[in-house]
Amino acid sequence: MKIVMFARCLALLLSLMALPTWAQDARGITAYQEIIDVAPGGSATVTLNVTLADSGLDRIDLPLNFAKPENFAVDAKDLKATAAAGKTGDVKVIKLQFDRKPAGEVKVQITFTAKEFFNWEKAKGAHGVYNLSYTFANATATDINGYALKVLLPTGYDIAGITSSTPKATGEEAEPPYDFRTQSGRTALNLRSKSVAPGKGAAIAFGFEKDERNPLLVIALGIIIAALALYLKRDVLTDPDFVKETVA
Amino acid sequence: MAVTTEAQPKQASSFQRWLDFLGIPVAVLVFVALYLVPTPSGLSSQGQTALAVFMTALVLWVSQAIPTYATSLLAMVLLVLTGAWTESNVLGVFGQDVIWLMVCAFVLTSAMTKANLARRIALAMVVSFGTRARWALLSMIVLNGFLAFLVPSTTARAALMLPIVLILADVYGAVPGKSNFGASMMIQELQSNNIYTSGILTATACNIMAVGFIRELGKQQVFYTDWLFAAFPIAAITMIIAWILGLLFLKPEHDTPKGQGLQILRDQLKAMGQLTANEWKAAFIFTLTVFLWVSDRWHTAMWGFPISTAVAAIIAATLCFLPGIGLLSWKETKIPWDLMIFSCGAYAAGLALENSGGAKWLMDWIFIETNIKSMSFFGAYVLVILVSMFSHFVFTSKTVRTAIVIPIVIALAKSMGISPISLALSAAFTMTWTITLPPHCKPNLIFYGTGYFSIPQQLLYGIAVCLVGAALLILAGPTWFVFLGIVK
Repeated sequence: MKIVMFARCLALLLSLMALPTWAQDARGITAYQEIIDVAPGGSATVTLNVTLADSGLDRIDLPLNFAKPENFAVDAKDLKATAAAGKTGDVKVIKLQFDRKPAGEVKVQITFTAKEFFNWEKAKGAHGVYNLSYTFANATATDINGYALKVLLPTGYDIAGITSSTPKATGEEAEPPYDFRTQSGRTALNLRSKSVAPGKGAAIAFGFEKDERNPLLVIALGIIIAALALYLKRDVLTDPDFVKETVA
Repeated sequence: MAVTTEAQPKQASSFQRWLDFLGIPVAVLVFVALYLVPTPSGLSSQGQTALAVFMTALVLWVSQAIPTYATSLLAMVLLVLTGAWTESNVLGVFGQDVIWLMVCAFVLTSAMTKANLARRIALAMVVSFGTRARWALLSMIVLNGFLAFLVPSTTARAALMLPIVLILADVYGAVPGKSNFGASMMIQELQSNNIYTSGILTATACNIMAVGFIRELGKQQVFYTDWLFAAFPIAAITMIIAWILGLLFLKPEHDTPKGQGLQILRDQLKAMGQLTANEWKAAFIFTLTVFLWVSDRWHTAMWGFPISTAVAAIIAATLCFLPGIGLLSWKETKIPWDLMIFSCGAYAAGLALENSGGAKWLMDWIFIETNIKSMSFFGAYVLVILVSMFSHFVFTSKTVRTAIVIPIVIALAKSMGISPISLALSAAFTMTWTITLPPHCKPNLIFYGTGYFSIPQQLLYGIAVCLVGAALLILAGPTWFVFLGIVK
């Protein structure tokens, strides 16, 4: 009797676990780009460029890793589609719904706003550096291939340094998992991962700071040190007894 | 024993005086300029600051306007205060394997010296091969070439040679900081150690890594003999030229040991008699260490776990101090602690530059700024050789340098429609030519610790030898490498 009960419970558990996955495509997502455009106020405009494999399904759940997303908009070219934040079990997801089952591969662009993406006060660290970390957790049952993240910093800020990343940068890979460069006058940080399996994630933690350094203090200190050095070493060129400490 | 950390009084030349006088102002100017310039695209502000600290330290090390160890301390302070690297990272450099390797190498050297074993080996070598200063220098270069085939670690080879060359320098009356012979021998040791490594595919991990990149990214196979036939002749010819350059510009003071006849040395060797108990102990520890270094690739098969070069050296140092087996007390151990401080600062500055992406950015920037893609094959080949050869100025790790430079060169070759192996393999041959400054690699630090040569001496000699190597590689490109089928 106990064995039968246990088997029923197990079957129920497995069926519940399967619920979020029933509508998912076994071939998964072939490309997934997130662009997080950080505004000076701390909100972010998020753009997702997703390429879905030929699934023959009219709805799909996508990972959602932002608090309080709003103002969803979808562009799926020939298809009509809607997107909204929702939940599958306890998991927050973006529910993408097409008006009909797409034929073949489909490319979708979803945009939304994350109002409370970045808290400047809490993020402030030493040396005027702000720390930002973002984790893309794939809490759906879909394989995500070709994951790419782009974080656009507010105008006038530079990357101070990368704290950590997933995939990890070992320094020995041919193409590092992240890079950053200036794009239309703004700093863009890019993270790449070949695939993000269900239950796995990609992440980046980095510091950024104002791109202007106060030159006055540095120049003043420099002049004082250089002048002091020239004064203290004024006899070096003429002193006949001058000897040099050659090595360590 | 010739190891010393004391300053040796020496009349400064006019050039040295100017370097000393202008060193600090120039260093300040370099720092202010690099620190305040707007951060270029692709470079982090930490990378920019690390580059400013590194270049400032470089000016101070070369000019020696302040002692080298003080420059290192200053670099560590600047890295922390400017936020270029975290305090824990900077202080953690003292735990790097290179520091422990150096400490243990000097413990082993002290033991070999106390036991007189190093002197016996050096005397035997002088009597056999080095009756003249020039032949003593050449014999050490040749010995390094043989060792490169046997010991696949540049650091282990340096630690192995250290006690022998120190006593050999002593036999020739070389005084640290004063002697051309001593300076020449120590610089040639680090040069032959690094350059021979470039000639043998298995002599260091970064060579194997470069071949891996060429296979994975360039889809071309490089075999052991391809590498050997192409690179070893270049390495051997370069070392012969380096030896001649040493004889010309660092002319040995005495042509015979301490200006004496060979018979005196033969008598000294004879007077040493049979091996003493201490010599047997030192020989046992030395042999065990060499065995651990030589057999590192079979450790796991032999006893189930690997023993790194550093741990093997720590085992040797431990044995030196143990009662019964050992022969050394701490007071008898001569470790140049100023060198350790210097090494820590140098490593911290270098690692901060690498970890912040500053070194990689610099490489990318050079290739983009030179507009290499519009060049002819030979023009691009020459530029790649020169940039690869001198890229070691901004790296402390050969592995990291290989991981950054070789994929860039392969991508460049592909974009130019050139066979990747034609550019990338020649560039890979330069990855171990890290001979111009002490912090560039561990063997450099070990030999710098002997106190026999100054940083400007190593820099000038190193640049000259690098130029010779680059010229030979450029010459080999359209000739020898075409014959071997490497350049197509």
